[in-house]
Amino acid sequence: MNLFLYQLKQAYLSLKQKPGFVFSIVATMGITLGALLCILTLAYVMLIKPLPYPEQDKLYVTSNEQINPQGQVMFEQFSYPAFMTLYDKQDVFSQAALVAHTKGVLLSQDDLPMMEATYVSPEWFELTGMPILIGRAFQSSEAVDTNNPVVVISYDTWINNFSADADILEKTINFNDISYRIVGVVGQRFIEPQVYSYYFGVNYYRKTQLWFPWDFNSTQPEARNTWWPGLNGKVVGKLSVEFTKSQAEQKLTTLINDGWLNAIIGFEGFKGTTIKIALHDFKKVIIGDNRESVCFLLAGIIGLVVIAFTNIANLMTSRAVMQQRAIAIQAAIGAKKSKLFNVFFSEALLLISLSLLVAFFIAFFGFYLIEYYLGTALSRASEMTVNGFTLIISVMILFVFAWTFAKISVKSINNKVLSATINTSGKGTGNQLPPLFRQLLVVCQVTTASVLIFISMNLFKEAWNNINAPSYLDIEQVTALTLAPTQKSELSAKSALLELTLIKQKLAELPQVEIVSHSASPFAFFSLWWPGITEQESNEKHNMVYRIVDEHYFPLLQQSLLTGENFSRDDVRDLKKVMIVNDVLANKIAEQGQVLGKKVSFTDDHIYTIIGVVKGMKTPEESDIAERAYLPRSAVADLSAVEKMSMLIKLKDQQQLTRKQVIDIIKEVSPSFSVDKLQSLEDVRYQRLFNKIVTTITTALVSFLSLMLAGIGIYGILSYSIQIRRFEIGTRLAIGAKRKNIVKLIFKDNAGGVFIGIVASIFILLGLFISFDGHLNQYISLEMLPLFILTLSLILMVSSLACYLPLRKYINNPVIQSLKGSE
Amino acid sequence: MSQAILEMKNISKVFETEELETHALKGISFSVNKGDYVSISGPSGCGKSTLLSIMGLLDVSTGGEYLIEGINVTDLTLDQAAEVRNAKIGFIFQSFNLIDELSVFDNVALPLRYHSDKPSNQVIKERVTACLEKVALSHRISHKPNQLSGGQQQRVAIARALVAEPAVLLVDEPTGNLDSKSGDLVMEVLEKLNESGTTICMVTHDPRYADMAKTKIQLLDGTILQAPKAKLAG
Ligand SMILES: Nc1ncnc2c1ncn2[C@@H]1O[C@H](COP(=O)(O)OP(=O)(O)OP(=O)(O)O)[C@@H](O)[C@H]1O
Ligand SMILES: [Mg+2]
Repeated sequence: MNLFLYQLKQAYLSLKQKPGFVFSIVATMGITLGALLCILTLAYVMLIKPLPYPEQDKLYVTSNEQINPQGQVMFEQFSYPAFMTLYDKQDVFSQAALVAHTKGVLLSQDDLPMMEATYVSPEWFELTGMPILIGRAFQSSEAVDTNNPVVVISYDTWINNFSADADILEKTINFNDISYRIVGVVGQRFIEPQVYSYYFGVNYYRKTQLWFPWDFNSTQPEARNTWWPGLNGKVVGKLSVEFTKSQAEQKLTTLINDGWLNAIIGFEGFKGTTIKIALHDFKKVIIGDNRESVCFLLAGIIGLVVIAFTNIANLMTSRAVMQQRAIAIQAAIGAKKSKLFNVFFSEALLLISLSLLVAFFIAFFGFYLIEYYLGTALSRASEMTVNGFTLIISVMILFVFAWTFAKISVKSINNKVLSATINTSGKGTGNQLPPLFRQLLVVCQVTTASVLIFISMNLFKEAWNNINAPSYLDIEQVTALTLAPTQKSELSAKSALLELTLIKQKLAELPQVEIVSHSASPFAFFSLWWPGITEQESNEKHNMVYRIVDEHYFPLLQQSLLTGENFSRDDVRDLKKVMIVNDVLANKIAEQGQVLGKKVSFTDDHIYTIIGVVKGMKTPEESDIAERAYLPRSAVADLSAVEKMSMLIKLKDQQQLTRKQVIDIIKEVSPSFSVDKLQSLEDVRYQRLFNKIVTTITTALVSFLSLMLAGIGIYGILSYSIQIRRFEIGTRLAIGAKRKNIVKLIFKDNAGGVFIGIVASIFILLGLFISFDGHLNQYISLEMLPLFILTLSLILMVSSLACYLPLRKYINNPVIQSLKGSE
Repeated sequence: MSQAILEMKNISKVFETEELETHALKGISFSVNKGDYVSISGPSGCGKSTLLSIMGLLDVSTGGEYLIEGINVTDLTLDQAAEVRNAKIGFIFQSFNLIDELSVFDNVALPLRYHSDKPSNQVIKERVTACLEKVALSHRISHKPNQLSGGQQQRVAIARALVAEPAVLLVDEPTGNLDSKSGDLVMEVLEKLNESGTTICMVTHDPRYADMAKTKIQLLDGTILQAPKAKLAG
């Protein structure tokens, strides 16, 4: 042990004299290991770490897949009767909970905040092991059909909305016009499982602020008896030990399918459709589609570590060879190879410990960045911290890397060279390090960098194109307002429309407002008419989505009308059956989009005439513009909530509109509504593109870092190999070689490594694409050629620079400088 | 005068480092005629190697004028200097400076390969063999340098210096890394070459070898101590 400490001290002393060497190693390794630790921890938290719930591996989320006769899944949502039947009659879960979420206004607070609420049955608290700070969780007194109006509030709500009031219990709140008694506050360390997830393919992250008993969920009384799938609720269950997942699925499917088949008797549209109940791994539901991103990041970082590792292997061996005189003398006086190994090992140990120290700082910074910026996009990001896993990985890195570096260093000093160094009679110009080893390092760098850069640039291009594609709308100064109902009993459609029109007028009268349209945001989800509309002449069916708008919608967004005309006030008021389509749909319906005057039908008695064609607009995440149709505001009497409750407001230049201003205006006009959300379309766009923006930044960073690290690495390797060849270079110059001869020589000698590296990268890329063979055709195309050529050019440019730069000082100075000092 | 191959006029060389200026050469003037055999000697640090590298265009002087075959070569670019070295000058170094990866043949052929109008492979082969014969090493043509003894390596270096038929051979301590027997052999080769007309300029410590030269230059502290009057220029 003492000997080991002594060696560490020696290593410290010898490293102290080489600050540049220490700095380059600690900087390279520190940064890459920092990134590695950060992403490994993220991957661990998201992919491996058990969920923080009791018996988490037995938890499942059920979905209700409605399957058409062709075997396609049409919907994944439950109908209310199916949902309740499953909960009441199932015998495959030892415990099952009902969960459904909603949003609403907290009327008991002056600022009328919009709150995220979740309706649950009491089992939810046990299934998730929810900690309770004050009061109690739901019990049998809140079981289904008890109608007990109580609420458990989240820790954040308690802090933010109730100023951490210690006497909070038994106080009442009013949410959506119902009073609830507060019976509990959730503990701070509760991590809410994101089982709400999917809404038309978009990850929907939310944090519940209020927990209500199931009975108060927002499903309307009529809807509770129809088998139409539309409930956003989930059944979460803990699988009994007697059943496997597929057995449970089978049992539940039989249970629900019977009811379904009964219910659809007489409905032609549903003929032949069946229901399948599927169980989804709790973890998979929560992690969603972030898995792939994490895997890409991990692969990218591991690539960078490989590059950094090769760089440092080169630096270490170069140093070992530089030191060989001292080492040779040690060897001459009897030091064994094992002693040499120990010397190198203690040095490497010190260097990597230092690098890990830096790495921890960087990893902490990374945790902070990820939680801050990606907290809402990556579920579980908040659980990231240095944990046992991180520490074990670090210790492993420490010893494996130190051992490998020491081994390589010892290898690079072979006995032959040692004896040659001592008896320096015959002076050669040879390179001491096996050239093959250096070539191998170059190959390794070039391969890894090419693969990383090519893949990153492809992802970058895709995301970049998406971000920069024109939306064909002018969304500047446009704000989307979503209203929320404040009363339990619904207004009649007619009086609701009346009040909403009044709100719209008041808003339009505000001095900062230019124009208001009673329409939903162009970026909100369009309604789907399934199974499509029928063009009357040809009797052809066309898929499409539609939106209900008023006459101000297109002018407000400056969505250009290609032919025909916009809706008029009369169309909107008189429920005229007219329709405007976008160019994409127009081209589907008729050649060259000659659709004006054509009639299409939704159902037999809903036939619409096409009066205009608009330029198709693009939602932020769309890559291909969908077929869209627009109907006038009042044409459909029973509007869906989102279309009824939304307005678009165009503000004058430089003007702003606050939530409070809008709330005040609404208070003047109508007690039935409050503000759900007021958000500029620019913000909406930014939020929706957030994932793509993150992708562009990370891929650009990965490309840049790979190029930099590989450049530095190849430079290091070549500058070292050129340095030991300088005597040869000097000799060649002395006997009359010109500078270009020398440059050619060095390029030729190193081209092999670069070339092999490039070929290897092509094989790896092909291998990667083939292993994802589903996408093969889609990915391998001539379109990739330019990017591949760009990758190659970058690599070649960097390698050439790495070749030329270290040569410069030998070929641009009097020859004597290369010849001197070698004697 | 027409016979002067190398002509140095008042050449000086100052090395500047952070701490001090070293005046390695202080106004050196002399010339070397065709067929001459010049030895340069003097105590360590007097500037012999410095002088030889300026003569060989491996370094540039800080003052004075230098002519090779009557042409001023004081201010050549790096590539022009390389061309002159290739065509006019053959170097023989103390430590041989052979290239380990190349065979004896390729080492010797190297100057021809860097020629501005490169001779055909056939010509190269003939001239390389001829030169190796002159140094009595034609049987070692495909060996690698590290398979030869020190003396043999130095003879390969001589062959390499000769192959491009330079105007002058510049030799720095050719026997410094050799035992006396191999050293004598090398000197013998040089003497024979001079007899057959090769002009040689040689730096040496060894008074025995210095005496073999026709002209002896003694350097002391960067100046010529004693030179045959007849050969002094300027
Ligand atoms: N690059 C340099 N920078 C600074 N000083 C130098 C440099 N090269 C040579 N000198 C100095 O110039 C002087 C002459 O050096 P030179 O190598 O020519 O001596 P030398 O006569 O060849 O000696 P030796 O017989 O030991 O080879 C010395 O004082 C030396 O220290
Ligand atoms: Mg010398």
